[in-house]
Amino acid sequence: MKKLLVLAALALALPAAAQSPVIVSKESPRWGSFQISLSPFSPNIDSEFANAVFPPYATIFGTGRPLMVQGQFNMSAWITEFGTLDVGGGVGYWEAWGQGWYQATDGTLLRGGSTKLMIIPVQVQATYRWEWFYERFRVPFEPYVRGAIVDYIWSTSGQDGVSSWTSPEGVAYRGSGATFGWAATIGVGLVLDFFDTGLSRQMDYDVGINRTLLFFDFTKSSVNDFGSKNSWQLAPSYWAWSVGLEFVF
Amino acid sequence: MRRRAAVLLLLIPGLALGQTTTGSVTAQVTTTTQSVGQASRAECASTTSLATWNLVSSITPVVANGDKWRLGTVSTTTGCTTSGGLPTGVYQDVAATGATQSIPSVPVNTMATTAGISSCTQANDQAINLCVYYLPGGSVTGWQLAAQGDFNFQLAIPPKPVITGVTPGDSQLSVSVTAGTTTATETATKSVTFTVSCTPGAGGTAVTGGPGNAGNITCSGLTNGTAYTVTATGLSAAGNGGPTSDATGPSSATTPLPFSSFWEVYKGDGGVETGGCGTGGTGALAPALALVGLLAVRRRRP
Repeated sequence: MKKLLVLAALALALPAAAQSPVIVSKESPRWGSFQISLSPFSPNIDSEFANAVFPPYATIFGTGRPLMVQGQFNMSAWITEFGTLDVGGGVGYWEAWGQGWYQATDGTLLRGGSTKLMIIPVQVQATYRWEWFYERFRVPFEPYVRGAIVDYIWSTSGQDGVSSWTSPEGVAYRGSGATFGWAATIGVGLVLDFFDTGLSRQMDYDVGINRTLLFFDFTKSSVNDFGSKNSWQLAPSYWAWSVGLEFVF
Repeated sequence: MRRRAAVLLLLIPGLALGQTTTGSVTAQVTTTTQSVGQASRAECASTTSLATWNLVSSITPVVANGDKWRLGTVSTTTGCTTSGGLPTGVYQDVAATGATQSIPSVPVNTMATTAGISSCTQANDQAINLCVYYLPGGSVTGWQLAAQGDFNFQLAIPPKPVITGVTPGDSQLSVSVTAGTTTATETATKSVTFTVSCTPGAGGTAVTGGPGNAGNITCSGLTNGTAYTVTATGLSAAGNGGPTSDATGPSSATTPLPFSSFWEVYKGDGGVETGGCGTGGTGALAPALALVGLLAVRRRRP
């Protein structure tokens, strides 16, 4: 009778065991990461017009900093007990809207018409993320540094589409192009897995995400075709901060 | 065999109850541009507005017998008659040429009055039924309802719109329009569109922009340096115009000018950027891409 009861209990328990995933403590192999970030952005185009009464960018678009959204995909090239070197690429989007201007004969500045500056930042980057604090002491912070070569694909438009300007000599300049530069970033990621290790393991088991970080960083950049005298400065004049989420898988 | 027949009758309710299935009919005003199944205030009131009825009858007429159709309208609360006295037609009885037939030149105003619409300037829309009766041999004896459909006299007008702003551009004005508040006599809110009118302040021919949804509507082809008076009007789905908005301008804000875009301002101020792809960038990007490739290859090596 006792044996029968044990068998019955096992029979009831087996289907439940079969349905529940067995979450192993060992994490899956890591091979890359994906991140998405937001950053207030304002190009330093007016650096060319230091003494101007009406510097073009600030006069038309104001001094606000519209958000730039960016995504990055990285492959882990070198994983050690201290940290990981990731290499990859990224792409983003940013735009600013403003009103054009017309200077009346009496010097009055009148505003009207809509005009836009749009930037699609593309970059290749290498990132070193120092994971030793978390791996060794469970301190949930991972500092990182990143270097990137960037290409800002940009376009300016007015009422009738992409802008064009013709010089007094008759040379036409189309208001679109691409400007190259560099960016250096220093930041820190807060390891969210630290706050719920069970959920972390479940994510690794279900979708292969080993670690999730909420990061905050500062970037210094220069985007002027590496100092070309025929290029404007599309990088901000300041250390630009950004915040985002990174998924290590 | 008898059981099979009973099952068949149960599966076809119309046959079981001794009913006939009624066909369908639509009407479209053809003397103006109008969507199928609706008429505006103006078309309702006009004695020259005509509609074409397109019917698909449930009864196949015998042309040689002189079968005819009678077209009728009725309020939706009454519905098409199926028995009793044959209703009055909105048009002369038409010779039937087939189960599917197009009947042109039906007076729209008669469609309204026959359905009991006493005024074409009512505050609310009036839905009616279209009814097509089959007259065997052209006789009023033995008539049957052959097709029925819906039609809407769209009589409501939209309320007075509000101009919330005007942005001048190069030879144009962009007018921000919002719908006004409905009143007892201005009730149309669904599918309302707007037109804007830009008239030179000193007098002259008005330029119209739209129709468009609430938001920015543009008057194009204006004269730079001329101040305009701007108004907006709402249009109901069928095209009933509502009251005109309060006027904006003429002022500097309603004066188109050849405004410069950002690029024109930048270059005009002596900006050095020339556009196109950067000259120094391609060379710098190549080593970076090579580095990425090298690292990827190295990682794959056992």
